[in-house]
Amino acid sequence: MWNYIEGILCLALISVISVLGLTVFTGFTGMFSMGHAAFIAIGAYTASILTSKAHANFYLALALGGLMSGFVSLIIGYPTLRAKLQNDYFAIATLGFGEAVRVILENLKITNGARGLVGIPARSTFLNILLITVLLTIITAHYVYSKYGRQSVAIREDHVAAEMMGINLFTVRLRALFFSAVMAGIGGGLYAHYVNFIQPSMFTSTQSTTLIAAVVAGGMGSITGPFVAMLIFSALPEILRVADMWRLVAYGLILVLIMVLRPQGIFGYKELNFKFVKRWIKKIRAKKPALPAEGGDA
Amino acid sequence: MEEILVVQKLTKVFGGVVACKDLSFCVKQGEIKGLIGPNGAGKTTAFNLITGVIPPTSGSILFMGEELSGMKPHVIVKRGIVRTFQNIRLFQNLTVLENVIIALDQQNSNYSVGASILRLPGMKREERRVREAAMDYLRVMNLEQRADQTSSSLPYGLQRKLEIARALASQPKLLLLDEPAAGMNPEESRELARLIQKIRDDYHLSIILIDHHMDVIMDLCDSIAVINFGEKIAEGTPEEIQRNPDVLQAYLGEGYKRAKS
Repeated sequence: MWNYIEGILCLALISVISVLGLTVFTGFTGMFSMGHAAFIAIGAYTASILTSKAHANFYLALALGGLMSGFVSLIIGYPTLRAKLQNDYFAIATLGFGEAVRVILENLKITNGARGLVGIPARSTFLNILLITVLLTIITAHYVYSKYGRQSVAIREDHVAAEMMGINLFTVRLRALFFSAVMAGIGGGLYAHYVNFIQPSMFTSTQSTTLIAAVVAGGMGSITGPFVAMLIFSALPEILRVADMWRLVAYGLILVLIMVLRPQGIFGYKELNFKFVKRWIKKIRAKKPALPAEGGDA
Repeated sequence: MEEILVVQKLTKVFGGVVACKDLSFCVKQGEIKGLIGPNGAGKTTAFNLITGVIPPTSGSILFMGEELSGMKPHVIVKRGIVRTFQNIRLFQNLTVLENVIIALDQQNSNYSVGASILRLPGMKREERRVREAAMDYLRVMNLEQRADQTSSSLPYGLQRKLEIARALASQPKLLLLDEPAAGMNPEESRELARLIQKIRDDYHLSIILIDHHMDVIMDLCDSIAVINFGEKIAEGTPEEIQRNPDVLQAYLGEGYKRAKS
């Protein structure tokens, strides 16, 4: 039983890493990327090739996989962000980019085409996945809650005003894209060394959509929101296994409900941290004595 | 007095519409310059051209001897021209203080991405310093008590003041105010006028002011340029403007002269 739960947790945490990156780009900078699966794929392939063919150190391979994703993000980000593509226009550009990367991976010799890479060493364990997730969460939080994060938020809130404040839209957006791509790449590396087998069809736009859905449902402008949302999203299909054929319907229904009932997301513009919990407890305590009075009125 | 901004033969054409035609005026160091005219005359377009939001079709903008046309907006801000917006553009989901901090960040908070990720002591010190400095700007506009409120929850008049506080935090040499008194009652706009004068003196600013409150304009401005259909129809001191027959006909109305006398 624990093996089963551990397996789900590992995959969930790996997805969380990619979502953290996307949070910086979408939740804080306000840009929508529909091609983030491509960055996961690039990280996964780079790290796998390094460990299985060049016998490189696992952590070095992870880092290089992340950097490779980051490098590719600059290639797609430079022309699109320089041209000030935004909103749907940028989303469509990334959608095309994501598909292009997948097709390229299917046709390269070093990636073994559509058959994919097999026999990737099993180096990702529950422990190192957990530690890397914690580390990257802290790094993301530190990055976002600094002057660099504030620049991103300013652009999300009002890019015209942000520019009038002396913020260079291009560099800030590109930096956020780079950051998110590196994170996705590291997530991809961990994933490859966990399932020991990758092929291009694993990294489709469906995966990109799930990441975006987690960020939006979890809450824009929040790190913990998307973090929790991704954990739920990963666990949900397993929990809903009892409902068998209805589980995808239920999954969709839950998404719709979140958007209808809480359009700002579960933790929109808030963080689930110590301060928040303290304020929440205070609120409940303040409410309690008022309850009997309300009952009396009825 | 030295001229800080010289606008020469500035023209902007949108398709077939001439929004700004051969507009020339200059702003002297320390002066408050009024820019008035009927709605749609091209006042805000002039601001957009000066701040680089839109490129001019032709003409030149010299700021402290440097040609601005063709520069990116964020570069022009660094040169020292900062503006506020006619339709308020605050960072709505952020607190009042954060709005000012973002403007200050661009000017003088100094730490690297690495320092922010590792939370080095230098970064924390900088953050504290920027916070303190931001509070000072709020104090200037009497907003310090609202520091932790979200900016969208402020009443309208205070949102306008916050925009000015934020613009000040960008440390301008030339401040462009686009209808700062819009929607304010006479008492509020008088208080605002006093504040504008005070910040001009305290921060050694030159100011260009667009507004429709003639009492504010006539009170504050050292000189006024009147625009109609994208063209300057008059320029001079408030007294000269009030007597100018073209201005009375195009904008102020004959009633203005009678009401004054």
